[in-house]
Amino acid sequence: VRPMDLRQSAIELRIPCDPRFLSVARLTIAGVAARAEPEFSIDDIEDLKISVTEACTNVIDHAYPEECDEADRFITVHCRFERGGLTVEVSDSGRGFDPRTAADSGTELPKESGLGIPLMRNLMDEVEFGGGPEEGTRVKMHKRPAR
Amino acid sequence: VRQRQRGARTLSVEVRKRDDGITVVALSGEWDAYLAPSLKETLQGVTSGPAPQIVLNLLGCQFFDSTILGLMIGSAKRVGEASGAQAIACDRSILLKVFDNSGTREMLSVVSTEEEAIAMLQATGDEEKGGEADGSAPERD
Repeated sequence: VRPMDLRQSAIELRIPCDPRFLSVARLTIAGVAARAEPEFSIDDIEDLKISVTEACTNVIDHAYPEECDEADRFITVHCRFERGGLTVEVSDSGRGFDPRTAADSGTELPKESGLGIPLMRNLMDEVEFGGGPEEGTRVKMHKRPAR
Repeated sequence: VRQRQRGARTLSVEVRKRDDGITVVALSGEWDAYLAPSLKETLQGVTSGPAPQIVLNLLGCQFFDSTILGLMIGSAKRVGEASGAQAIACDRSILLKVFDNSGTREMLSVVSTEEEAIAMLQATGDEEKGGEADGSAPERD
């Protein structure tokens, strides 16, 4: 088998919007990240696992209204190797949500919710929210191996 | 002890009531929003009495996310309001990173071993028996 250029590769996972599948998203991102060149450390891979879990949990909590048919509720995790690291996009086709209202930007005693987005921003090198009403939400994260 | 098989891994939450009144809740496996409802129920149960003394033992825990962190914060608040105390035993650097990145390590009284966590609660209890209690959280170095 000829070694391939990973920069040409993309890996995509589509899971039901159900917390039972959070561990599937984690297993996938850990498996993908372990194949990156240059290599990610175990700590880096854990950061990716937490961030992907947080992004998927946000979809589960916010993306789809109750009345949405179960078959139409899904989460897509798209990974590609680029710029010397891994870019992961977690997207849905739900109603979209405003990360400014979900993020806890305060410095007072930590709240019990809204902890996920600040955590993702701390663990990833880049976090960017896209999408909007009627087109779903897309969270694009990029992580480079720690030097 | 509640156990659930997920693939080859066993996820469990074990609740132990000690003779000194401290309740130890030990988690093992990976914890996220899927298992959060069962942990929420457990924590609400053990924190419902007067002055609850709770140790959360995460030494067998491989993963937890912000949903679970939120439950630990909620539990600490309930315990504080009921004039009790809570401490967490956790020694994995990848898990400590979650506490550090959310600025909760000190507020949640995170230490490395179950023994240290128990000693912390016992010291808090002794202080209160000595009449020095003022209702605030125990101070740490």
